[in-house]
Amino acid sequence: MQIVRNYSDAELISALKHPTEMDVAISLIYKEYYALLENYVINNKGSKEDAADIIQETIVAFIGIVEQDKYRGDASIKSFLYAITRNLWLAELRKRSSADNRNRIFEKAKDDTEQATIQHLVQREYFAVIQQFFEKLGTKCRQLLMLVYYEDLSMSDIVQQMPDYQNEQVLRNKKYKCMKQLEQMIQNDQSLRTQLKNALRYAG
Amino acid sequence: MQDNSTDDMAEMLIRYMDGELNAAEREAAEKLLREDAALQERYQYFLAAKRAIKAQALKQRVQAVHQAYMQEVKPQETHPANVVKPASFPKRLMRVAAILIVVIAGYGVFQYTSTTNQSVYNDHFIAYQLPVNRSNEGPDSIDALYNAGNFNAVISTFNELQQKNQKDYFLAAQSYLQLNNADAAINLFRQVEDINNNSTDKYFVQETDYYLLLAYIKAGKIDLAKKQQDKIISNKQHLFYAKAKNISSIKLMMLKWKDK
Repeated sequence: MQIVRNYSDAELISALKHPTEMDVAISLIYKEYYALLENYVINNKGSKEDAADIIQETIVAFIGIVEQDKYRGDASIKSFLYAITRNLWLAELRKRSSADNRNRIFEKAKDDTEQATIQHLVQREYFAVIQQFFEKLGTKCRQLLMLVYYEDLSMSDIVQQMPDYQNEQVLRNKKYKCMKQLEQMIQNDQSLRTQLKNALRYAG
Repeated sequence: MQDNSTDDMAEMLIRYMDGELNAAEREAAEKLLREDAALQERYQYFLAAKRAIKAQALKQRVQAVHQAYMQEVKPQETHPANVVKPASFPKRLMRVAAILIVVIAGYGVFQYTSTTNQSVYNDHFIAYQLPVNRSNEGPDSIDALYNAGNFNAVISTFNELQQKNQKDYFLAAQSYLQLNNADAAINLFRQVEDINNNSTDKYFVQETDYYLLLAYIKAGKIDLAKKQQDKIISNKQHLFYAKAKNISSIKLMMLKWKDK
């Protein structure tokens, strides 16, 4: 893990939005803020392992917020990450200490980070179900959808990596087919559909 | 089974979501979405699917950076730098060289003695977690038993199943790994591979690749582990590419030497 240079907050945000720079940006977040965030969890009844889990979750949540352009820069990245870690850890403590709804603590979100944390927790629930459906797709489908939606590669680049498919149109058709399969599995899961509806209502 | 018009609508929604429509098509799609609540709902399913795929990949990416950070940055905290008193340049150079030799040799000896099949396995094993699915069967299903960490019960239930699919074999293999029976785990992971090789429906393929690699390490089958690692890292798109790459080739070599 090599940090080439320091980034300002604005540069870090920009790097997090670009797949090619993202690893460096995440590494820098680790280097700069891991100890701070770890201390918070450990000083609040957590172990090093708890801290490791919560910090990873914090970074995933933070990148999600950045990708949706919901980080407005009112607070520094350091304060924002600290607040997300605190919220996630409080939610985890709450979950461990009671069978109560883990999100009840945030029913009335006081600020942006609480709002973002709730959305992350709600999303995490239904993403887990969809990700299970995703795992049921064939290997080619999974590979293709990852290349399209995560690596953000063009169809011409993907054709190079998946030579079984003769041309871009064949690949596009494959993508539609894979997404339709995934959508069909979502359609068939009443509980997931309800979760999604509730999540959308919450997101307003 | 959906009819063609439903299929066409799905394709239109995906193309709209992915920004593949021209201006006129996009306007028409937006009008349809405003007027048709059911279509809007389907669009939300596609969006959720796309975001869940991205979230899964992102989680793996953060995990890979986390592991790299833990391996490369954290050990420094337990080895504070030595304080060297000011001395003349040649003396200082010789001291630094001597310290380096001692540190490197000591580190090498430490690594060699402390590297075992189990330590390498422990460093890279992350318990496989089944995603939560509320539509699952009852508490005695293999999924539920596995999620509850009841690995002996997973194996008993697996042995009683008349018809077994890839997931059953995979979870039973995971349970054997958790119970430190690497040979049994290898046997079942290979059966997942066999089923996938002979079936058009392929499940748990890449997960099996990685956990079979770990099972080989745990069982001390280092040649097979190395081949398995090479197989995974030859495919940069492999879901476990970063994890497999993180397994040190030097440590695998040490394990092989120790085995001789």
